Amino acid sequence: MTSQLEVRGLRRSYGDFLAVDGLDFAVQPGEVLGLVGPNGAGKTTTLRCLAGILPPSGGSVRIGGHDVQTDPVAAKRLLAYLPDEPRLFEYLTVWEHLVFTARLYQVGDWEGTGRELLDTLELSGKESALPGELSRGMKQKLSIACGFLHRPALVLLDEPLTGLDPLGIRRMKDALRQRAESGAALVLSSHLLPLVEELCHRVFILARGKQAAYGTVEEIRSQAGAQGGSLEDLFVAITAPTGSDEPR
Amino acid sequence: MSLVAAGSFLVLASAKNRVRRVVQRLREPRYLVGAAAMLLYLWSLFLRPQVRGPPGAGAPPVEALSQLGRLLLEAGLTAVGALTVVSAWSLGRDRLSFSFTDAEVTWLLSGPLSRRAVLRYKICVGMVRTLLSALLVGLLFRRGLAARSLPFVLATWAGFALVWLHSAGASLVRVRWQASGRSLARRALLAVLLVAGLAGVAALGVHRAGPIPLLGARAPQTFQDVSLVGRELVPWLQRWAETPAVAVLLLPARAFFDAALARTPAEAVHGLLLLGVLVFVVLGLVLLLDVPFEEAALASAERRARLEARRRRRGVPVPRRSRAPALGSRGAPELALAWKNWLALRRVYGARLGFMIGATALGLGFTVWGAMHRGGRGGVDVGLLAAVLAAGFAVLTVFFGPMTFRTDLRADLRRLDVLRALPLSGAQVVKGELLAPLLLLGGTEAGLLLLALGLSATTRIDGFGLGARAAWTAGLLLLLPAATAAVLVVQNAAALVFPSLLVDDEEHAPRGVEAAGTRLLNLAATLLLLLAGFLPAAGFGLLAGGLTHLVGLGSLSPAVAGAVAAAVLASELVVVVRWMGRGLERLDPTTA
Repeated sequence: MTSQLEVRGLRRSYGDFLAVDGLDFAVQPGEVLGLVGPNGAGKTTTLRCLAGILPPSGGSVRIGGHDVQTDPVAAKRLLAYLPDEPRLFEYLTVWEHLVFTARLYQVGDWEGTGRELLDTLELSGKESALPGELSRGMKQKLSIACGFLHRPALVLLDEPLTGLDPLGIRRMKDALRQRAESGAALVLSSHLLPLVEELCHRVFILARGKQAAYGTVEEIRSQAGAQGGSLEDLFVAITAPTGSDEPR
Repeated sequence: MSLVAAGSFLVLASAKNRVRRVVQRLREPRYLVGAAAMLLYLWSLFLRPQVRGPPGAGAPPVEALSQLGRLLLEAGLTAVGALTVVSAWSLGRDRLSFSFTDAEVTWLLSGPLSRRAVLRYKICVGMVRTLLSALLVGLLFRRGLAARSLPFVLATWAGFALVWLHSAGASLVRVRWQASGRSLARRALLAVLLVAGLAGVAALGVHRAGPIPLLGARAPQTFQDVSLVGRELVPWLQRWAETPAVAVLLLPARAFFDAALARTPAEAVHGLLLLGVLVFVVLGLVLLLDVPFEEAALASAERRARLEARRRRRGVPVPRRSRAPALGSRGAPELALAWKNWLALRRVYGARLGFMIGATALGLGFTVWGAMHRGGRGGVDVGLLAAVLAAGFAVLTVFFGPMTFRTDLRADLRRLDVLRALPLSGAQVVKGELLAPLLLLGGTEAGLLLLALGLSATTRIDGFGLGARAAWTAGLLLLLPAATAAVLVVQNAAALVFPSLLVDDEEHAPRGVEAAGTRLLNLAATLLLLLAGFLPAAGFGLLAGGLTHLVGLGSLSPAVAGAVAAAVLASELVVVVRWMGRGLERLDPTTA
């Protein structure tokens, strides 16, 4: 099967500081990949490189076969990037954000999908609200609605559940599952390890910018030589400082 | 003692970190050059040694004041002081005059500190701030006002400190009154007492000084009348000011001017001693107050946070909504950005735009009205006058329009990560961002030019007939929007080159001498770039106009010249927009 996302030798530095070094992974259609790591491990930098926001210092990122560096417009048409902080336009209403997105991504007959998304994300009745009138959770939901409107082949989510209430979290998990079942590839970065364990088919653990572990939870467990335990236990075991600079 | 140490540490560490940040920024050459430029500018403005004139010519004007002038200054300052006192006790809401930050509320109010200790800390911070303000005033006015800088600064500091402490004390008392539910009655009573007291002092002075000269006489008509009034009124005013009650009232202002304008150290010490005593008396009274101000402090922190948020979101419309024009989902995707910016222009600048249109209409109306009134006698052509004004506004829009309406890349670069994730090339983003303001400004210019042509249509001007005016209008209809596009492009390009300085991001905008200097240099560079862009356009335009004239189509030459100049400008802009697009694609969001 052709990978929806293919990352080869991804490297990104800020001056002398190497934030991300030599990452290799691929995500198939319908697969959910969890990107986890301690604070400052390079998760957001990785996601930004995948979204074409940050140019990589080395390596390549291909989305649906399009290189993000050499063919960025075609690659980004297949992509939805949902940052941890919703970045909305203060002067566009909820519905106008969808109008804007539909034109940008050339989505025909989108109104029905738009209403459905607003329903699912409990934003119905808020169509004419400006972002300043929405709570943080609602802004997050609007950002997600915009991201899903063009039925992206790849969805990159940075801490997607921040600011959502318990019901919102449940609905969001369902929505992500449905996206994956409909064939989209998802990469989600989160510190909520039980969520990652529940939703993701495979997990990529980053530590100090490098790959510390990659595979299904079972595979990671066997790589770490652990007999049992949750992803949280594995995460702690793998990323805890050992006195050496290199992650295990 | 521990609070003094902790407070000093807080203030000093914050100041040290600010300096460290500035020094770090100065490692970048653009900031270093900016800081040098700004310091040079400030030095030339305030600190450059004065060129000495003949002896006596350099005396500061206030130093050489007449007795009457000095008396008027003292009376004026006293009046301002009285107004401050009355308003501090009776006007506005019952809330603290000094504000708390969220951090101060969290750390100080929940810390192991007495209420009085927190108040002492706020007073110390207030005094440091008043000192800095006094230093700034001293720097700005030392040349024109005072003979000696140090007494001037110290007297100004004492004046500011008195106002600060009095306002703080009054606000604390009012907070207590509010808690007891009797604020309104007490404020009203105090206001009456204060005003009555002031009026009583003034009346007592009048009683002691004798009848006001010329009171009830007819208003002075001739210079001699005025001179007579002056001759009799001035000595009376001086007698009035010397009466004991009025002299006591004028005492603080007199002490301030004694110190601030002192020619000798003895004069300065005399004035400063009196001011110092006043400051310490008010300080003691404030420190004696034991008002539970925690709730008011919390309210002040919330108010401050709200104001800060409003400042950051300046221009963001919260309640205003307007109907959006339809936007189909098919077609050039960059038009989505133009559509978004068009909505932003309407919603963000709607009120400002309405005000500008109103002011323009009012200005035109007043001018026309004035001209009509004079028209009967002087024969001014109202239509022509209005036409000249309309054309003038059109030309001004080229330069001031892009500075006013900033809903383009300058506003959106703070969301660079969003722009970069869009399925658009850099050039598409730049085009989409610039289109809306260009349409608004170009449309305004075209409207004003056509209005000017219409208004002047019935006027006959020798050597500048209607045909010639139409040709000029046609030329300008093409040239002005092209020139506006050039100004927009240059300003947006500057924001791309210096994103951290010129992007409209109130929250993270760098401040300080180095940032201001870089903006100054940027302004100069922008003007140079515009000149460089306009010169070839002007050259080709003039050449085309001249050739048209030579082939016998002289009446069309302004239109041809305008069209050619606009075409040259447009072709330059195409190249620049492509370059900007590539720049946008390469711009690193982490350093922008």
